[in-house]
Amino acid sequence: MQYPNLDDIGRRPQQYWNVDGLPEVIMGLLWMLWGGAWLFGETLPHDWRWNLYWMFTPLVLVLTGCAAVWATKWLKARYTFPRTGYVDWKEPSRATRLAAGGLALVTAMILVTILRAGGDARQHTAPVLGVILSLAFVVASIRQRAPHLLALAGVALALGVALGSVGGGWTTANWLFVWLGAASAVVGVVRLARFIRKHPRPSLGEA
Amino acid sequence: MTDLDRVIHEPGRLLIVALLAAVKEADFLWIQRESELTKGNLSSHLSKLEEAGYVEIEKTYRGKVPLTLLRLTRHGKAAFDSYRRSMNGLLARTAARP
Repeated sequence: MQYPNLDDIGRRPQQYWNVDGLPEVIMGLLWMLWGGAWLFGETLPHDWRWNLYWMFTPLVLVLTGCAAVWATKWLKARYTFPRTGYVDWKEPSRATRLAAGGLALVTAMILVTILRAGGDARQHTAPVLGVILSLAFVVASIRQRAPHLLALAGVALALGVALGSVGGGWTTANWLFVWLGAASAVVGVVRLARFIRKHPRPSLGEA
Repeated sequence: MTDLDRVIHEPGRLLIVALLAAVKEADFLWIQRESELTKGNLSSHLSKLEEAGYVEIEKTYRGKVPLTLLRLTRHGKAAFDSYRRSMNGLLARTAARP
């Protein structure tokens, strides 16, 4: 038996998170919900309905973000763990949380700057968001050794460029979320179906 | 070389300990899949690691399905960290030799 590569082994749990397609399904549905909620809100007349909708929707959207992690773990407990084993992942380190928070903040600042600039700059919202999401998928693909995420990186980039040519600022950015979410959910469902086919549930007593 | 922990140094056990060091806890099935060890081989290595106080084994149930949960003890984590440091030092000394 060869001596194991300890760095490689340290990354295995992270790769296992992506083994079944469930994170892509949940992330895709979440993005569709987020994009759809903003797009729907923009169609409301500017009266009490607008006020009521925007009073609660941001909070609901934040809560759905938290619920997504819970839902992914619940589905994994139901479909993944009985087939390929149970893992309780470690919480991300403080440095990882800070890096993720910093990146989200920088992204938000870039988008706010573009949107506040108005005029032609607003047309770049979707392409810029597409590039940022595409880069995030590339990094995740390398870190988790998940080549299918490169396909989503390509979709994010292509959608960003395509929607950028249509123009429309924040509205097109939300359409980007909706379409990219749909692509992610489709990729996830295909991978989940393949995973379930490849790994039948072991009979009682094998876990 | 004499500084190296013989319990962890065996490749199969090193693999198990390294896998458990990367998670809070995992079950027998996941460790078996990731290590590609046979059930018997894995059980034997786990017994040795449990004897050394490096691994905690909890037999439980998920519904009606028996489940063997495995986690690294604090002692096991310290032993693994110490092993990594010793190994890195050894490799650094070897690389520095003319």
